[in-house]
Amino acid sequence: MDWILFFGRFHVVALHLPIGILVLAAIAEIYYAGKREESRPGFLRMIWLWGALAAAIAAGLGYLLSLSGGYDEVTLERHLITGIGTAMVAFLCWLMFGVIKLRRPGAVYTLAGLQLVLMSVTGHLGGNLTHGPEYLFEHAPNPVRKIAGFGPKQPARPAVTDLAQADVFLDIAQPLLELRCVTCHNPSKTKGGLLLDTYDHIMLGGDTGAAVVPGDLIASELSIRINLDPEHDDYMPSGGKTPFTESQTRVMDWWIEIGAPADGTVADFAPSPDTLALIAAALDQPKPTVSLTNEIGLPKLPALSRDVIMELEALGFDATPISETVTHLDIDFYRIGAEPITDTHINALLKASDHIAWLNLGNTGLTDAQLETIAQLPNLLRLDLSNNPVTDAGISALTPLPRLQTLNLHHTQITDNALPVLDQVKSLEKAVLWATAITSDSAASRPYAEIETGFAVPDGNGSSK
Amino acid sequence: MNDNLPSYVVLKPKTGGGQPLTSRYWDAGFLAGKHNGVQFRADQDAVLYLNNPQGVSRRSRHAAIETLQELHERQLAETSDPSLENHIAQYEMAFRMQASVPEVTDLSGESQSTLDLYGPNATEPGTYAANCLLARRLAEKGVRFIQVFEQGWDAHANLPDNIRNQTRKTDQASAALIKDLKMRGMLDDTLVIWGGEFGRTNYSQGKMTADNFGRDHHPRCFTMWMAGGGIKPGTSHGITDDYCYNIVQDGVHVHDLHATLMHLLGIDHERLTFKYQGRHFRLTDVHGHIVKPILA
Repeated sequence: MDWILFFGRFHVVALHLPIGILVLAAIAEIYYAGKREESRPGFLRMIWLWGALAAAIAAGLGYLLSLSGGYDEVTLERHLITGIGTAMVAFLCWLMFGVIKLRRPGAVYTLAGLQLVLMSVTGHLGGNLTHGPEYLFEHAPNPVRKIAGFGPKQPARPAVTDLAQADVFLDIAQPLLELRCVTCHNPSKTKGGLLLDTYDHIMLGGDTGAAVVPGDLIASELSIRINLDPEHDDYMPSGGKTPFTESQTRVMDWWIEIGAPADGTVADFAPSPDTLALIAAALDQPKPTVSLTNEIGLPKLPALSRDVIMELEALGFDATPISETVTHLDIDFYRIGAEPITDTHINALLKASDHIAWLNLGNTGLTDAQLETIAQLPNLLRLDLSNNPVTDAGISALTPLPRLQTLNLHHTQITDNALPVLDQVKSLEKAVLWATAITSDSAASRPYAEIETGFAVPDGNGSSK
Repeated sequence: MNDNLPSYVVLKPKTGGGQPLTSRYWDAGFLAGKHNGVQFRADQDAVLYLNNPQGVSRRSRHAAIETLQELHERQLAETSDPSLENHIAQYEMAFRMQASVPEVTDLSGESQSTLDLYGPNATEPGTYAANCLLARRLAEKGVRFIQVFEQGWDAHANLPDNIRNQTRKTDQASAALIKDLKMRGMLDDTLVIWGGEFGRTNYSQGKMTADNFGRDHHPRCFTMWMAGGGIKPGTSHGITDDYCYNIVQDGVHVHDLHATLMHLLGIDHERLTFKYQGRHFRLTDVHGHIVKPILA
C-alpha cells in the first residue's frame, strides 16, 4: 500500500505535463489545419505521442492515488472515465494526425476540439476532488455562480476590528479550520471520515472518534493531532501542507477548552491577557492594549447600580467592590443570634448575579435548598459555606458554577459522597474540608482538598507564669 | 465588614507591666473619630456601659437613640459640625454592639481541640492566648482591623528571664492563630503582622552577669514578620551587617511597609488620599515602594 500511495501522490505532479503538451498540440493542429503540408512542423506528430504517453502515465498514477480513498465517489468515477478518455483520444489524435495524416479542416477541428474539451472537463473534476466543488466559483460574481449551479455567495463576515467582540467560532475557530483543515475534510474529500466544514460536522467526529470533546483536550483527536511532533505519522495537517502556527494551535486548544462553543464573543469567555495576545497573533491582529479581564481574572463589567447595592445592604449584606478597578463584589453576611438567613436574602443576590465574585455566607444557617440559587451566580470565584447545616445533597447543586475556585466547607455536614460532586467542578482549586466527615484518605487523591489539622505541643511548653 | 461591630478592635493584656498602653495608640489620628479603635476589656463586659440600665428595655433604648439622633441631625443641619456625625454613629454602634459583642466574646462554642491549639491560657481572659483566639473570632465576624497588644519587651535589664517569659506567653498562641486561620480557610485573605516600633541593640546594657544583662533601644534595624493575606510564605527579606547594627541590603522603610500593606488590601497607596486642613494627604506621604519580593 505504501508503494501505491508513494507513486499515487505523483499524480498531482504528473498531471500538468499532458495538459501543457496536449493544449499545445491541439492548438497547433487547429492552426495548421487547411494550411500547406510543407508549413506544418514535422515534430507535431512527436508532440502528440508525448502528450498521449504523459496522459496515460498521469491516468495510471491517478488510479493509484484513488486507492487511498476518501474522495467523493461520483466525482472520482467521472474523473477516471474522462481521464482515461483524454489519454485515449490523445493516442487517436497521434494516430489520425501523425500517422494517417488526416488533414480535412472539419475533421481536425472536431478531433482536436474534443481533445481540449475532454481534458478541460477532466482537469476541472480533478480540481473539485482536491479543493472541493466550491473552490473554483467561491469568489465568482453571483451571476457566474448562478450559471455554474451555485447559490449566491454567503456574505463574508466583516473583518474583526474589535477582538473582544469577535465570535469565538465564526471569527476564530472556523476561519482557522478553513485555513488549514477544510481542503481535505470537506464533503467531497472527507479524509478520515471527518468533516470540518460546519459546526455540526465538527462535532460528529471521524473514523478515529470524536474530533472535538468540549472542554477536554486529552479526548479531542483534533487537538492531539495538531499538537503532535510534525514528523509523526498522525500529525495534521498531513502531507507537508502548511501547518498551524504555534499561536493558532494554542487558540484552537483554547476554543476546545472553553467548551467548543458554537457562538459567543471573546469577551464572554474572559481569556487571560496571555490568551488574548495569542488570539490576536492567530488572527493577525495587533496585540491588544487593553485587557478584557480585571485583576481577579473576570470579564470587565460596569459597576453595579448603587440602588442594588443599597438594597442588599438594607437586607444586612455587606457588599463592597473588590477594589478601585475591580467592580465585582465581595459580599458578606453576618447574623446576630441564631436566626437563619432567609430565602428573601438569597434571592436578592440574583439581582447582582454577574457581579458577585466573593461570597461569604459562613455561619448564616444556610440550607441545602438555598444553594440552588447560589449556583446561579456565574462569576462566583470564592464561596464560604462554613458553619452551616449544608449536606452532600446541597453541594450537588453547585456543579453548574463555572468559575468557582475556592470553596469553604468546614463545619458542614458533608461526607465523602460530596467529593465526586466536587470533582466535577473543574475550576475548583481549593476546598477547605477540615471539621467535616470527609476522611483524609479519600481527600488524598484530590489536589483541591485541604484538610489542615492542628499541631502537637511538646510537654512543658505553652503555659505562662 | 460587619456593621454590628467596630471596624477596629483593640485587645490588650489584662495584667500589663512594662510600658503603659494608652488609648492614644489606637485613636484615628486625622481621620474622623468613628474610626478610633474600640478596646475590648478582658472581663464580663468587654465593652463598658453597653448594658441597658435596670428597668430599660432594648426597645425603649432604641426609641431613645432614635430621638437623640433626630436632635443631633437638627443640630447638624444648623452647625455642620462633623463631630456630631461621629456622635450619631457611635450611639448607633453602641446599640448594635449590645447584641453583637456578647456573642463574639463568648468562647463556649469553641472546640476543645481549638482551645488546646492556643494553649492552656486560651480561656483565661486578657492573656495573649485568649486575645489571639478572640482576634480570630473577630476576624471571622468581619472586623477589619484587630490589634493585639502585648507589653513587657523593654528589657534594659533582666533580659534572660524576661525574654523566656515573653516568648512562653506568645509563641504557641501566635502559631495557633495562623494555624487556626489556615484550618478555616481564612489565611488567604487575613494578614497577620507581628511587629514593634524599634529593635534592641545586639550589645549589652547595664549590669552584666551570666544570668542578668539588658539591651538598649536600637532603631536602626529590626525585624517584623507577616503571614497570610498575599504574603509569600517562608521567605525573609533584607540583611544587616554582621553585627546587626545597620542594614546593608533591602531595607524596608516604614513607608515601604505601609505601601505594601495597602497593596495587599487592594489600595493603591499613591492614589488614596484624605483631605485634612486643606491638604490631600497620602498615607505614605510622598514616599513608599511596594516590597514586591515578599508578595505571593
